[in-house]
Amino acid sequence: MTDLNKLYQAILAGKLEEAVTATNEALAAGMEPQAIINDYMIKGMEEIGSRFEAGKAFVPNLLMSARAMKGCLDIIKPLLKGSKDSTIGTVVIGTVKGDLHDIGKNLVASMLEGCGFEVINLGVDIESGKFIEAALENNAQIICMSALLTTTMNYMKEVIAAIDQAGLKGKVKTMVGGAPLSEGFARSIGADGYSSNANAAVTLARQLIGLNS
Amino acid sequence: MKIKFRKDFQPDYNNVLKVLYNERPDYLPLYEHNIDEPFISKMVGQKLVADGLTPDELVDYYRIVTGFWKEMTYDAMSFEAKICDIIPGHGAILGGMAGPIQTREDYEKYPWAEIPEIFKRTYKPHLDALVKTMPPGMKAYGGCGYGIFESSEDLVGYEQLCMMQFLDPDLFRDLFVRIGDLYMILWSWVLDNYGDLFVFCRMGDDLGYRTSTMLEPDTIRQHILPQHKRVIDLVHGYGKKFLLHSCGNIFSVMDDILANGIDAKHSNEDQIAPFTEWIERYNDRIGLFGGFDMNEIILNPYEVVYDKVLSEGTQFRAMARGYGLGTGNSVPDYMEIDGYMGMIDAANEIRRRETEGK
Repeated sequence: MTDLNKLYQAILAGKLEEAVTATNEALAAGMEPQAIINDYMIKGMEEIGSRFEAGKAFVPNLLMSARAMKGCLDIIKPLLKGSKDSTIGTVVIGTVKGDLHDIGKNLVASMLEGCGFEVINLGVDIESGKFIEAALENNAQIICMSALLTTTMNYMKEVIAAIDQAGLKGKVKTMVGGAPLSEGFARSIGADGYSSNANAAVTLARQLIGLNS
Repeated sequence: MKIKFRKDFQPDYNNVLKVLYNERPDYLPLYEHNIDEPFISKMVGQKLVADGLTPDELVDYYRIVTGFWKEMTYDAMSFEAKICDIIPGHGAILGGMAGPIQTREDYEKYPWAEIPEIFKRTYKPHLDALVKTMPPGMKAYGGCGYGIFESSEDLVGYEQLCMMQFLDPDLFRDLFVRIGDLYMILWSWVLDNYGDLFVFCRMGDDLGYRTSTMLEPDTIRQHILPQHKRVIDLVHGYGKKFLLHSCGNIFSVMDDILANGIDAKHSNEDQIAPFTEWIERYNDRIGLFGGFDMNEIILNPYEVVYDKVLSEGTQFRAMARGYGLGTGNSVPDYMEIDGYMGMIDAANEIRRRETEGK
């Protein structure tokens, strides 16, 4: 009998090797890959996310859990090929034009990836056309923008306008984040959502594609 | 916007130094962590670039820069010999790349011993030029730029550092000690040779972000703050006061930072806490600088900034013992002249009203 609680605990503790071992054992025992993801791995990520929100876990803990989760997904994903469940959604992410900061954006990317999203990380200093091109190419549901500067955050409005002009309004959701931003700013530029940290970004992304948090 | 240069202002570094003693300065001192070179260029109407200048040209350069700080009515000006800028493999702290140390082998092979010479060669001409051009009554504050944690970010990369803590804890521990050793060498050189240039010393080490600390508080206590303390004790040993600049939500480690013996703290952001909270929580023990969220100064026109700084600056000065007014962070190149002058003019109006009220 496979003890899948070990997998949950390994994801929670950010222990890659133990998580991979538990995943392989579960697969060898004939467990459904999707059930392993939904019932143990995502639950582990949700718990570390909750602890982060409560100030009981920190960025290094999130990164280690995301690393463990990604290691397990690398094993399971090939088994899901052809199934629409192989990822829960696709996100295009980047730091907007004129801004070279990427620490926060990369944390969000790692967390989204760890929680089952396909993430297209465009990097920094990204123009509106590149966001749109990547979203179309990868059939993304979400464009996620980051900015650290008060001067560059205004460019997010231009990206959103370009998304509208490309006829993608409603088809591709937009979410924004970064130190100088606020919920009010996000509303004022017409973004579909704002998150103040990497864990909240995962919750928001899930909501935007119609999944419960 | 017509910029008001106050050519008759007479700086007095002892005035701003009172903040470090947590005493009320005779008049409200101004303070900035940094004012970017391109911003000063905009203000003085002359493109200023220090990189590549000869020692003689640096004297001309710093005559303009020190004159700018003086005429904006600062008692002292910021100068940092920036450690990260000269270390081999610099760049990870700016994002987009990993640092040069990822493994024990990288750490052992890293040219630690070369750094002091590179540092001296790079910054001696700047420090010499500053000594020659510092206006009477004025001194610099700062010393070595970048903090212990920031250097670790530059050498490893933030995300990689987070992982290293768990994957190679011995290397993680040794790294901070080695950075501390390096800081002792570089700070000692600056203080031995240019101690009189500085009215007080400052280290900037951003330990937090909006909602929390960059690393777990216990990790900061165990690995970073002991290295801070070595620098603080060294600075105190030279008879200088010590200011810590640290951005982000660091309340969880503030008591430990205070126990390290800092004399003052700078950096505040409204989204984390109003400045009044900093005064209420810590001003009985240390002096405080700042008060005005950088974004407020950047985003608002002259009149709005002027009214806000006049009103709240008066309040902060009344509430606090040691207090120096400025942005909660620094003046970046993209700041508007309007907002900046709104802040400077309001601070001078506070001074004028106090003088007339006496």
